[in-house]
Amino acid sequence: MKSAAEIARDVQSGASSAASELKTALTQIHARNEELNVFLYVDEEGAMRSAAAVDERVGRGEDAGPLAGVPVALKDNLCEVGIPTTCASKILKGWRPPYSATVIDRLLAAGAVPVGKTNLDEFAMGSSTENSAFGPTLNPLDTSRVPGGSSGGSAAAVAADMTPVSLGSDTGGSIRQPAAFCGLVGMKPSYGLVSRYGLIAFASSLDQIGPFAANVMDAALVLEVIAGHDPLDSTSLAEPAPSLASHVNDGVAGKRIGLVRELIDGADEDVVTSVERAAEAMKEAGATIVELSVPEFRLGLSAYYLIAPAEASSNLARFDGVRYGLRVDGDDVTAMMEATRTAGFGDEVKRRIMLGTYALSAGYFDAYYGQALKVRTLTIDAFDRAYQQVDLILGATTPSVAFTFGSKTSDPMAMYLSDVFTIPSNLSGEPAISVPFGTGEGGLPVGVQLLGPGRSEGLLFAGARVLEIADGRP
Amino acid sequence: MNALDLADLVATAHPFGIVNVVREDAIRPSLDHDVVIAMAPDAQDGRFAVPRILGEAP
Repeated sequence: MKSAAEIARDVQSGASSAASELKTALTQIHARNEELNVFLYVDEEGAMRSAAAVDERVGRGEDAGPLAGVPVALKDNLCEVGIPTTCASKILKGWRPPYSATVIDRLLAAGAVPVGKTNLDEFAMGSSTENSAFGPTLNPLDTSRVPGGSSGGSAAAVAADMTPVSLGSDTGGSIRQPAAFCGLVGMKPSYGLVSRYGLIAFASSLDQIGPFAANVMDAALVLEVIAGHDPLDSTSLAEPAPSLASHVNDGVAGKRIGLVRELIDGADEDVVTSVERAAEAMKEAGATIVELSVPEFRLGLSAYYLIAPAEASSNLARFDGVRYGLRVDGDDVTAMMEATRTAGFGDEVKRRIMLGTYALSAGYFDAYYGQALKVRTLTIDAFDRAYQQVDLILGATTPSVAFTFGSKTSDPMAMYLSDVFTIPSNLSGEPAISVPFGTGEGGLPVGVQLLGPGRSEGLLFAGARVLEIADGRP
Repeated sequence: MNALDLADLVATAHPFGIVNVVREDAIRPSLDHDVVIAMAPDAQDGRFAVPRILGEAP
């Protein structure tokens, strides 16, 4: 499949057109969506209008943008005006947002062509897409396995050659883990780099939108387009979007890279081997490898599973059957809300609302939520100390390659553990990228993770590119 | 986690410690009233409608 960069170049030069690139994408979607359950909604008419607008701009001799004619898939927790947006929940079935997320407006302005909304774990709560109210998405590389989650549909769209790039959201690893499972590049940017306006909130202090792509350059191109200050998101960093694509080929010569024990320990042998080989590749590219231990990372999972449910229990209070979405009737307003939420939310969402409500309740707040926020500070301080010694951190993205359907659904703790290596960056608000490196069990891809200090996206892309080349994808 | 002594640490609410963001107190366009009401499961006279909120009189 053509890369996003190639499509944009060909569309701008007239060698191809946005309409024909869209046709290629739709043909593949029609061929495989029924089997894989990637898209919850395909917006063919809207996509054709967007593609026609791009072709008109090219026809008038204008610059149609850095993503001219590039089909993009969007995780279905991103609001798009007039297009059904469900969060893979029955509680929002049929709802059509009255406004679009800032990232979608920016994609359109850059010439991209949004083609539809992809499946996810309900409200982004899960690591396998098995929690979707509309059925799981299958991993295109091995349909007996999960694509990861929660952004499993967006990962599968790229892995199945339906679109060259897509957007997901990452609260505890929901971009990086599915990227690892589907053999893709996936980045969680620094908190605040990308506007969250129009992203239906799960845990507001952790959520970030980011790209999936088949290669590092495409991921950098997409992030460059969607990043930058947005007055509609008060947590958006008040600075212009950084230049990223120009740093992809910077290399890592002279950089110090920390191999962190806590981001490897407990991983399967095939994953450990890939991380060790990635460290070797970095060394050959001129970096120095420093072995580090950051014991505070081990506390991340416990803190995360208090902070994220606490914020979710508050954020999801808005789904009450009054202003939008599902309503199940009741004799009075309390009965109506109870019936609506009982029927509308799935088991995992209910579990997290209950956990969060408990962690925030009077008498328990200090022991649970308050303590978790302090552990968050501990994690941030630990990262700061590590970055005094090294420029980047290297570790595994996930403890294993993609697992099979049903293997973790009966044990929520086992499912939560698949995020153990990705959660620290969400707590610190710092960026991290997963890049495929080698293969493991069953010939499936292994993702290795690079983590960096706040606003180090350019360096992360450069490091990921070094690994991409060393893994035989020049 | 409960075994840790965290007494000297400050809780983190925002990773980069940004301060309050306030915009100018100026009127700007918002969502269209009719569009918003049209999304509601039930509405009456341009307002969201819900079942009764008070119990029977004793």
